[in-house]
Amino acid sequence: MKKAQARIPGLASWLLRYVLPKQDYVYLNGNFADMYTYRAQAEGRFKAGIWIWGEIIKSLPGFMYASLYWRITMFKNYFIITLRNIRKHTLHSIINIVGLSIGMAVCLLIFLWVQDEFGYDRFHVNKDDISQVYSEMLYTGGDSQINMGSYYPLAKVLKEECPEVREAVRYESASGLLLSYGEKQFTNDAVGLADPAFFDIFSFPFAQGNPSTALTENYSIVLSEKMAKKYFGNDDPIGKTITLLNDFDLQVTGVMQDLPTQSSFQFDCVMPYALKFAPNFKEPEHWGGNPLNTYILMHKDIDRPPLEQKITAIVEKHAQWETAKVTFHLHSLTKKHLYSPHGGGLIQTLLIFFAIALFVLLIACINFMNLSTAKATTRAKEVGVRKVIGARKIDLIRQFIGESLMISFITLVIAVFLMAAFLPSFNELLGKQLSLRLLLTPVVVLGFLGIALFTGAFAGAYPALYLSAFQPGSTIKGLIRSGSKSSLRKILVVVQFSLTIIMIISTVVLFRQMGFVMSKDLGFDRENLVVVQMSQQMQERFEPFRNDLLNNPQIRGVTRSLQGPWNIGSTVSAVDWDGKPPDESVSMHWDYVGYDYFTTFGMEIIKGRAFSKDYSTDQKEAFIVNEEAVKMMGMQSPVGKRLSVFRNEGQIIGVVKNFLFQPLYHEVKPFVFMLRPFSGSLGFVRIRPENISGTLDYTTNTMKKFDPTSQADLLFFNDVLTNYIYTTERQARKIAGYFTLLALLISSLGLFGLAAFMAERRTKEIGIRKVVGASIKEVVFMLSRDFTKWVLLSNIIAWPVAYFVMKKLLERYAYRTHIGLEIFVLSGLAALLIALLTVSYQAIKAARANPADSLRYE
Amino acid sequence: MKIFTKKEEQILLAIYHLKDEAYLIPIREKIKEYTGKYFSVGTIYVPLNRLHGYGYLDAHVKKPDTSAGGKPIKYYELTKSGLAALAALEKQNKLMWEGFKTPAFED
Repeated sequence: MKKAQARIPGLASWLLRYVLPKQDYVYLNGNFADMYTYRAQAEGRFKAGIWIWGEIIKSLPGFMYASLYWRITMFKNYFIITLRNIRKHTLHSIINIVGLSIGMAVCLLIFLWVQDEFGYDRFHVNKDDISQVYSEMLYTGGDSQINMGSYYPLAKVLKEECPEVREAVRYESASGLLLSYGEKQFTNDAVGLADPAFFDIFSFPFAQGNPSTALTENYSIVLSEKMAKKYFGNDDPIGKTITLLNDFDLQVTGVMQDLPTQSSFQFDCVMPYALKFAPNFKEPEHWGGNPLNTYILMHKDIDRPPLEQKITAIVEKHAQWETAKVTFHLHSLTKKHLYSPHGGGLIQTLLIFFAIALFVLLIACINFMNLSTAKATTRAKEVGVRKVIGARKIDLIRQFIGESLMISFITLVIAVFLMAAFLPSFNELLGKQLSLRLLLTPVVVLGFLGIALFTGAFAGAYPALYLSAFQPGSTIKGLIRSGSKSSLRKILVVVQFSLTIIMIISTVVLFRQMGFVMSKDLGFDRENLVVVQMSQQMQERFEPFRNDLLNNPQIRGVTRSLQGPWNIGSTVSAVDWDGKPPDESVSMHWDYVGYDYFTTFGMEIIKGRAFSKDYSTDQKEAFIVNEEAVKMMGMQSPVGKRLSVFRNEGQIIGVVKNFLFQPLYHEVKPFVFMLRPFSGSLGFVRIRPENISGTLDYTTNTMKKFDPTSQADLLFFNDVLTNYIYTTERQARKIAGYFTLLALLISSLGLFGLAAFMAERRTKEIGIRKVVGASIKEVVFMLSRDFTKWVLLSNIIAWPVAYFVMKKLLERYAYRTHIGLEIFVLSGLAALLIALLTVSYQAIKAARANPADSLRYE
Repeated sequence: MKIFTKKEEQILLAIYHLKDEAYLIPIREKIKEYTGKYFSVGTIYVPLNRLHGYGYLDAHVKKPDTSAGGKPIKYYELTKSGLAALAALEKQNKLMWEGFKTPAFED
């Protein structure tokens, strides 16, 4: 009789496929199918379905047990052996685990940081098609200057004449503007000024209002939720008016959600760019450089280089500059945060620190390798027995790699806790808000597991190969004399110490350079100089403000300027003087300053005179240049010579001694001062070194008198340098310092372990030596000699590398500290000293042991 | 002499009695006859496979039979050492049970 074959329900047959042993799958499946068919005919499909599920579930333990039994047994064995070894060799385990978890924690921190920095500006929908337009000026001498600042008409022209460009906007940030709503007045909101299409290009999510039309009205403003709360509390902000500078009433047209921290743009509110030209809204037509940025949104899949050429051509047609050749370039938004068009950028710092973190981990891994191979004798018998019983080499490799993986995952857990403990101080150091919540994101989890896997596999590979290669015959007979003859172990120690010494030297040089930067003679007196960010009220009533300040005898001078001489980047190329070669394009850095600028700063006028109230013409027609400018213009007696800057005719009234107005990456360049006693938002106050806090209080109170809403902090000139100009250096120095200490700690730990092992292995030798008459000193010397040799060798390797690395790191500075031999020698000596201290503890312990104990057999 | 588990003993006996018809389902039925209980396929397969691994059983696959619905079936039979093992088991059992008298239970 022919039976119709019934099919096992889908899910059940899928499950069977997984649980049935591979080799008998076909038959077992057939058996199940038969039983199912039989049931289905006898009792119906439904009951048969339930029955087969019951059967499968009842069978599961049996099948699983069969397939996993041996694997689990072996795994259990490996696991127990690993734990026993950790417990048995406590010192080595502690050294390994402490070293590896520090190394791993460092890597985890850096990984968190890197992945945070890579996440910047990724939330914009059009992120791949947004670019910032910047320009590069080429001068006749072959010099060029990259200029992120842009031009007023550029965005409009690009939108109209470039079909590739979908939208183009200008953006400029401003701070210290007075915004008020009734009684509530604040000057501490970060303001963005942008053209209406800004929110079409960038996707800042809105809580209220329409992003596309929010900035179309000239008198409108978009607030962040935080700022809306600050001004309006819980009221609905839409339609309310905020007053700008007590003059313009701006209607709130939209509320943005608070900006993500991972955004290059950081502002509390955005106003229409046109407000800059209120109240008549006459857009400037000229093509002069300004501190605004131009961003474009391109159509999909546009190649950047041809577009750059096109933009260059278009601007050339409109601007008709005579002075210098200008080319335009695009900097894509996704690169904005990490790469600087000037070359380098944050990415360099990240790479350097990633490398350092890997070094620290590598040093910890070397400890692991050295200690495992040094301890190989204790495992040799085990290897022999396993091999005799039938383990293949691959099984042993798998066992030992598995062991190191297990240790690396144990350390991962410790490392995560370590990292969590250090995260707050790391955040403070970097000025970031990395949160532990990141630990829940898949990238981070994968990254961490990856780091642990890498560590385990890397550190375990060499010991695994080393141990698994033992010949069972000789190991069981006890012929393996591991320990002294391993040259690879020496090499590894040398590598470890070379890395450590390189890090020590680099850190010392970084500290030296920073010290040099902070003490270099800038051409003016930087001590006791207070910088005041003046609000609108103070700027408008600057003279009375200044006189009030000068009433205090502790204040020796007050002046103002447009830019601060810590980083004056803006240049003018519309410069002309008698005898200038007609086809030469040049540029000068410039600043608008108030009276008493030179006396307040302590700059030296070497020829002519400073700006003076006695000459009314000074406000229009007087220039003071630096020595470099005189050299460039090739004048013998510059005072009284004609000069034209920004097409303003006048004459040179004085020459100031060269001074540094930029970070020390740049050399002194030609500079021209112009007098504008009524403009400039930066105030400078020269105070006497006595009773500084009293003087600062007086200054703050005076500021409050002129502007009751003033919340500006007072900063010393040097603080400006450390907090705003040399931020990377400051962070880098600290992180490098900590990491170097950790590296030193880990490598010393490793040395400690090795020394302990060596001393233990030579117990009998030491005993015999002592019996024959060696003194403790001689024994200690004998034990330390090898290590000394290794560390000295490391020095020889590390010095040239460190020198090269330092040359590279200091390359960006125009003025750098001297890298003298003494740095190398001292760093090397420090490493040697620490190594010897570590080793000698073990050596002395071994040397002082009673030979009777070590020589007695049993 | 290897000590067999009860399950292994039952399986060996089932195969002995089933002769040419010994594959997983009938074996299971047979054991139900002995014990009154259906064991799951998994709990039969594992010792069956183990016995095969020790060499007490031979296995051969019969090509699809139309009446079986087109699936190949793996049949087991006792090898020489399997039969020897059964013989030894019998001796053991006899030894163990010798002198045992079913006591008369009174309700």
